[in-house]
Amino acid sequence: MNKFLKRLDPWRLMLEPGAFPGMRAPGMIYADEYIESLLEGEDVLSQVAGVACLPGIVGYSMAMPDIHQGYGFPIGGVAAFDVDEGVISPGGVGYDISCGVRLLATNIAARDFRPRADKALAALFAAIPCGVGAGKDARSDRDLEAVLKDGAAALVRAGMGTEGDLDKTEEGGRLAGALPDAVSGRAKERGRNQLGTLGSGNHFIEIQEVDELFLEDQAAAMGLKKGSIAIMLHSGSRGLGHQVCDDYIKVMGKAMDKYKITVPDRQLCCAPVSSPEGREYLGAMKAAANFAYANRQAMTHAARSVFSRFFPGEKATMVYDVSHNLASIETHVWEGKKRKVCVHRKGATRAFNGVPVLIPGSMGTSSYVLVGTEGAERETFASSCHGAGRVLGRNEAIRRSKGRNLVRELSEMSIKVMAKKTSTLAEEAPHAYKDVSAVVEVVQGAGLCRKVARLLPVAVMKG
Amino acid sequence: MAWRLVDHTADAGIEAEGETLDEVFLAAAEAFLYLCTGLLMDERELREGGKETLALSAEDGEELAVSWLNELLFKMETKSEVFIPETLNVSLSPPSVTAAGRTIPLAMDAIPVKSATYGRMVLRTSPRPFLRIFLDM
Repeated sequence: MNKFLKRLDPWRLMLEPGAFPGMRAPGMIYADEYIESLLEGEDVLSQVAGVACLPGIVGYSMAMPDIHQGYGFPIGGVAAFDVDEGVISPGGVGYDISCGVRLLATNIAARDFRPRADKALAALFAAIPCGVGAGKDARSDRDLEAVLKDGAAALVRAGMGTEGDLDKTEEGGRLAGALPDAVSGRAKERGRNQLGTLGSGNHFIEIQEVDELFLEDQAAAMGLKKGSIAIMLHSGSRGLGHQVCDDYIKVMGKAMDKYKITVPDRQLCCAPVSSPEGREYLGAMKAAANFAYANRQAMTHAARSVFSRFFPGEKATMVYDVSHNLASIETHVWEGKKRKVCVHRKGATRAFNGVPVLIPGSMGTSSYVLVGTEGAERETFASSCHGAGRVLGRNEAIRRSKGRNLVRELSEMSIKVMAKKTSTLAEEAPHAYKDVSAVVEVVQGAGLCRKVARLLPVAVMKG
Repeated sequence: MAWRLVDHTADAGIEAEGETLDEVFLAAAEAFLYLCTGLLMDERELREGGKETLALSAEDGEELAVSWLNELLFKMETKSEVFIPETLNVSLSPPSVTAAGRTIPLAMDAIPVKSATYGRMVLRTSPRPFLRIFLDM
């Protein structure tokens, strides 16, 4: 397939439509030579091509520079489908619906935080459950319905946050048009006691130092000051979202016969956006996304409570909260025409002009705050990357970590780490990921985003 | 009956094989529970427990494989219980699994698996029954 890959400029590779039978559009991969070198041996090109086979695709099957192998869609994948002629695919959103990143700014100087880092990290660990079914309280049916319908706003109403938090969350922390009734009882059962839990794998809470400002005015407007502490959370819709995806993959699998759709990989199963199945999935997906916003809000409330014990009076104000696994009905101009499209972002972040884009690194490297640009609106349906992107499978990462003491290595870099399981640290070790700075250089070089600030890890909590 | 873990850049895969589909699904369950709990089915923590029977059906064999593993996950997440299958009866016409085994309570901090997926799945019944299935972690 590599022979169909054509370099257009230092930041873009086109995958020509001849690469795979049935492609309805070319692929566009945002990659410099470093990222391109990591595509070798990956199954990702066939995944980019597979997405290009779906009906109603507009423009390109795109992949951001943090691209790596997923299921059906690649991670880092972006694809827009015409709302009248195109499809919506649960696999194009992924199991962790509205998995996303939230960033809080503080007035705490990093030099004041570091001496208390161990105790603060332990307190965060005690206050925020990681695991499955570990939430403090099972939600009543009524509470859960409110969360599915109103998202983070339901928690703010209950005193777990401020209106300002909602103003700084994409879509106000509540996707309109959520259909709680389209969420199965099984999904609700999985979510009932998981609100406010972090999860495992690549989910984390990281205390970071604002290390460098690239756009000082923008950083100041976000409340980010050089040398101050910020708090980054990465989590999603937990078991509830996983079940919604699983349920609707079954629904779509059946619907494809009805709509005479064929796909190269069952994980790409889909239905027309305007079909009853498509509309129902969108409503359930929005409800799961609302659960995710509320989940991050609940953890924010707990984190603020911890920080106020160590630093009385500290408010920890929101910088932004944005999803990177979502489908969204949006209007974009494509080739001079306004198009209403369903944009799938699977491991990709919405990047409207001037709006924050949060890019976590791996636990030993930088994270970035970016802003979207007109270039992203024009070229990628306002989308950018979502992180560093893995280069090693979990087993390989564990193998390469054998004999190493990652906690000590990170400690020698002045990074405190606590994890429920040591295997998580090995799976998530920095060497399992691409160089996040290189990924960010590609999206900036391609004109999709501009760098605002770089953040360095100080203390990391992993599930 | 045997299983092994397969690398995937983001996640993990399982390959299971056996003389029969019953053995394949049993081996896949053992690998899945290992990934979820870090324990093997014959370890001490997983030896006791009350008897239970699980039964489920699906539209086809691939959906049956996904549903089987996701059913084990569902019990872990919602009940903090691990179902240890002992005998399985797997049929593809119509697709169904009936499993008899033991259910034991097990406190779990975090289960790393989100779901079994259909991506690049291989399920075959001959010449030797085999399943390759990838998990979203």
